[in-house]
Amino acid sequence: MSRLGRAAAISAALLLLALLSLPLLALVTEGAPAILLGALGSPLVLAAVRVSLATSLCSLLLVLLLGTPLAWILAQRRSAALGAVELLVQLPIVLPPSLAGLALLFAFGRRGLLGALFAHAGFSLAFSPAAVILAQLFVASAFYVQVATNAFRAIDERLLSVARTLGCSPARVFFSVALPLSLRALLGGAALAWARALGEFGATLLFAGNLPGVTQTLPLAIYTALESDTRTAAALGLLLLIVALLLLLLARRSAAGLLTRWSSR
Amino acid sequence: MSARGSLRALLVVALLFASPAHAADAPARDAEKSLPPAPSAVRGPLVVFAASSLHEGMTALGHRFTAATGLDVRFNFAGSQELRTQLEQGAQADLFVSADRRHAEALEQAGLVLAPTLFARNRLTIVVRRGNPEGVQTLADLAGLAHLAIGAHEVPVGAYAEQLLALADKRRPGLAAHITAKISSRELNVRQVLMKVALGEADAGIVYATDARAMATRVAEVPLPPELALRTDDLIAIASHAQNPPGASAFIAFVLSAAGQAELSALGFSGPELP
Repeated sequence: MSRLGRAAAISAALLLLALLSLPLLALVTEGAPAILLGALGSPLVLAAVRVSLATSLCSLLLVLLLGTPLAWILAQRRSAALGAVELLVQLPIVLPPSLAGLALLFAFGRRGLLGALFAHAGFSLAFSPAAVILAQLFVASAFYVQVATNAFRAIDERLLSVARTLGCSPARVFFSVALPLSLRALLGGAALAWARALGEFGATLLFAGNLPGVTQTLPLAIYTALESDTRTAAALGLLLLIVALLLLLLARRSAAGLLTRWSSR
Repeated sequence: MSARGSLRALLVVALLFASPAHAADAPARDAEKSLPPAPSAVRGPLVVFAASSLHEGMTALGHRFTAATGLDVRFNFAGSQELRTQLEQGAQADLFVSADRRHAEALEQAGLVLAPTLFARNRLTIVVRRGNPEGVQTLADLAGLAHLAIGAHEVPVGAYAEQLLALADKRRPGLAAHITAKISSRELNVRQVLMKVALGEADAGIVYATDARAMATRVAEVPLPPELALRTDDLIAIASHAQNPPGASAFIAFVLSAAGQAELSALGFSGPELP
């Protein structure tokens, strides 16, 4: 029975592995020849790479600047209210992207909750790279904030106490003790958030539209190209897959660093 | 009812629907003739891949067809180009309904559908935000707006819009460039163009007249003058690998019948016989 059980477990695991790896393998076999044949040289592809890099780097910067203080506050103390905040931050991870796009439109669209306010201030997010950045921020920040919160929580409280008793200001405690100790984990969280921002599709399409060179990111270009040119779509897909894989490796290395550091303590 | 019995019932229905008054029925019968003989009729549901602009039309026709035949009809609505890609990648469907000739004929050449038949015509129109706050009266007024949404080149409605701009440019050189400069988004199906205008993100969009009618409470239509109101073609074709060829033929016959055409006409489509 136990042998049978083990065989069943292995078969189940292999089945899932096959389901996960075959589509990726197919992407490689379709995409690699397309890349070699120069499918990535078209101006549309270059424009999409440029839009993707510019917007995702902006959203990453915002995630770091806004997410780090939030993670620090969440890690400092626990309360029902902060628990609710943590839940709120995590929600976009499980929201369908189309829903995220619609919610963003209702909030920040020209007819949205803040639309009139924006119009009064003389600016509009509609169909702008800023809308792409906002969509990416919405879906990606949770990945960074979660990792950062956990990293801050994992810091030995005694180190922070010692720093405080030695007369460090709260800001100095954060910048000289907490930040250096969590840097690797923060880097990993940033890599995850960046990968998610690069891959953002549904919310961007709904909220920011699809215009080459302005709001058309790589995932949108893949989807648009798919309908006339599967070769270019496969080439772009493989490119994104490689970038995503590198970012994931970076994130895992950082997480592993954090683990070994704590287990050796 | 046995499989053969249901096949016979379907053919009877098909003949009942095929009103001789419609000259356009002939291509559908040709399509039936070119079908491979069905080894055994499958009673499963009809799977119809239909262009986004046909959402209301096909849904209504599907209900009527199901009521008449008892055959379940399931729809997959998306941009024609997206449905074409799905079929090219091996998706299983009985019928393909395209909003232009380009995608239907490409699939026919690839041997994936048989004899696309023109079953309805639509026309291009401008939609603006409810109440027409910018006071758009003509195509040229689009050049004065902040945000214009049209379909991507790959999408039928986008290709038609490009044709429309080229046509207008001949009458008034430079107009197309002015309007193109105001395009803020190239959407992947006509309903996304419509949605952008309905939500007020875009000031105007170029869609089909039937779309403007379907969302008349949320957008306003600015009809194009007859010389610019581009007529568009809606085609239906049986998939070469249809699971239920007799059912698919019966559906086409119903769409082309007087009853089917009346249903489409009520939604603003024109009959296929119009020039």
